[in-house]
Amino acid sequence: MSRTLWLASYPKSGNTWFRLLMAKLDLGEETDININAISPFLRNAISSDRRAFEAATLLDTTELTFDEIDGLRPRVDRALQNDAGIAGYDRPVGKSAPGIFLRKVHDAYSRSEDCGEGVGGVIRGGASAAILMVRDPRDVAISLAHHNGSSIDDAIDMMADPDAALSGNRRGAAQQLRQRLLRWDMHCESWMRQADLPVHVLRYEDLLDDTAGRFRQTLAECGVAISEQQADMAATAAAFDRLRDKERTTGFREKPGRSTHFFRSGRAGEWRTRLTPAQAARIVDAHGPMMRELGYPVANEE
Amino acid sequence: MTSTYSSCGLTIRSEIALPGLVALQDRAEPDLRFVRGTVPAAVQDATYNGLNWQFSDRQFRLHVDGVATFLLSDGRDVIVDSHPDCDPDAVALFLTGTVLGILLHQRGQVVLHASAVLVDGRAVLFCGPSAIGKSTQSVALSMRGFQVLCDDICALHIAADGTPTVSPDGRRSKLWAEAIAKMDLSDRMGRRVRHGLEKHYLDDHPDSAERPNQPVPLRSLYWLRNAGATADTDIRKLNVADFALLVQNNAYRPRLVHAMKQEGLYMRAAAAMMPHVAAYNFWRPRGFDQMDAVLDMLQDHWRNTGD
Repeated sequence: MSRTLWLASYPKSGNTWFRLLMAKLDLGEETDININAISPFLRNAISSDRRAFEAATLLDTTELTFDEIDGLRPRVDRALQNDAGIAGYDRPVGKSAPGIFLRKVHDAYSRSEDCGEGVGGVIRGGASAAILMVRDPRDVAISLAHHNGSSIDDAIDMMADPDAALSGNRRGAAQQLRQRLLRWDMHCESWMRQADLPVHVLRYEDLLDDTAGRFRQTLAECGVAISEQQADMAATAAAFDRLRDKERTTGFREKPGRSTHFFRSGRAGEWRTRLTPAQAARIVDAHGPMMRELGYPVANEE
Repeated sequence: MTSTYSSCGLTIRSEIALPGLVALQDRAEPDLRFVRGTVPAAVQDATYNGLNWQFSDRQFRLHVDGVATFLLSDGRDVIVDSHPDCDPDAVALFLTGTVLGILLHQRGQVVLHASAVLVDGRAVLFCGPSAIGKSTQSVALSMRGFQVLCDDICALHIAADGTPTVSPDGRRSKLWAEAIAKMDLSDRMGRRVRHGLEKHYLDDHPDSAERPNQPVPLRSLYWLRNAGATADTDIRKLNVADFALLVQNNAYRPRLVHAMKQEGLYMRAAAAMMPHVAAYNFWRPRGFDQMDAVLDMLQDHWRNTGD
């Protein structure tokens, strides 16, 4: 049976980039990354996709309540994991076998006491590990504002709202299933403190600094061995400039309608020039302890 | 107390009220019967087991947590075992939706997840996954005089010479509260489809023509796609391979087509229809403010192609 690797992150923290690195491993040396490809590490990895849920349950997700969907998702995730080998959703990467079934998740981690299951059905489903990608929340706020087509202040508010969710519109049907985020710091905490699944934290900034090295190291921590050459190949192919150029040519199907580009900036520390001191202070007030824990500078020198 | 309804070319006699369908006075012998009863914990000699569903040669069992368990036999009879705390509207919603669709699959019919409108006496279908806007598209067209034929189930019949017809699904359109508000349809907003969802049945327009109750020839198929907010509407004819993909991927429940080994049925249907029917990818920007422009383009396309 495939090993399920969960790639968890608050939105705009590098989840797609990591999956593109994985996709390049899958494609190998000769084939260029197509950012819109139906790669198992791209389309089928999205755990909030309506279609996979509907295929498993035969139910129309636009006729179920949010709570009903939340109650079913862990079982759906377990069923998908069992079918992954059959459906071809898994892939061997590097020297690892059996295949890796990669699942992306933006939901904060939670466990239902009723059914004794966690997000992703990880408890009874026996997923192997989670990678939690994190990014300086001050940079997340800028990126989130662009993604949502909102102001930076609205993005900061969203990140401080314990009821925040993606695709949480109750009066219309969003394109994906609702994903409850909690506050940014609570989101990090939920994945880092849970004891149901081993979790490996990867900072966006560290991946940017040494993409090949960090990518290889993080996979090794999850029991997936790849060579230095493979890591270099993936890092080069998924370099930000190349992804941005591809998006300009072909578009990117995961980009929401509201934003102009998905691959927009890809830098670290943009907040120093883009946030006002008041905005930066609001973020630190809301999330300071977790920022410190993750090694982000919060002293007044900024 | 039973009521009789017509949907997808079939007459239904139901002990459970079905507000999503238009009731008939017809007392003809029904094709389908929906009754209340007890459903066993499992189907005997199941040949396929899904997450909350399973089937054997003759029976199909579907369980919906907190709502009901349904047992479908021989593509004809449904026993409805409602949860004691269920919302009756939810039971009716699943009966007229997923259960009806599964019955059609069980009967070996070609059934698409699509809405449809009448254009010059022929059916134009809009296919696509949940939440892409099939119902909304058709209701918007109905406001320009094109009558809605189907809300989201299109049962196809392919004649021996390959000409396809579509049966009306006999249902009220269902729209989200946001769509109703943005499209100025508040005066036609009917009851909620079920408790806890802000989705409503739409009452028919008082001046609207009598709903068709006979199969209608199929004119064309459109595969609805989301373009970006700033992107243009694009209607692109499908080649042979993509036509077959459209039919395969837009079956009402593709997972069931696979589980019931009916891929051949859909491939043959696509091949038979191709000489008679045009199919297109229909990329359009989301956003109610763009809707008028999108519909203008669609109507231009119909005038120019005769398709």
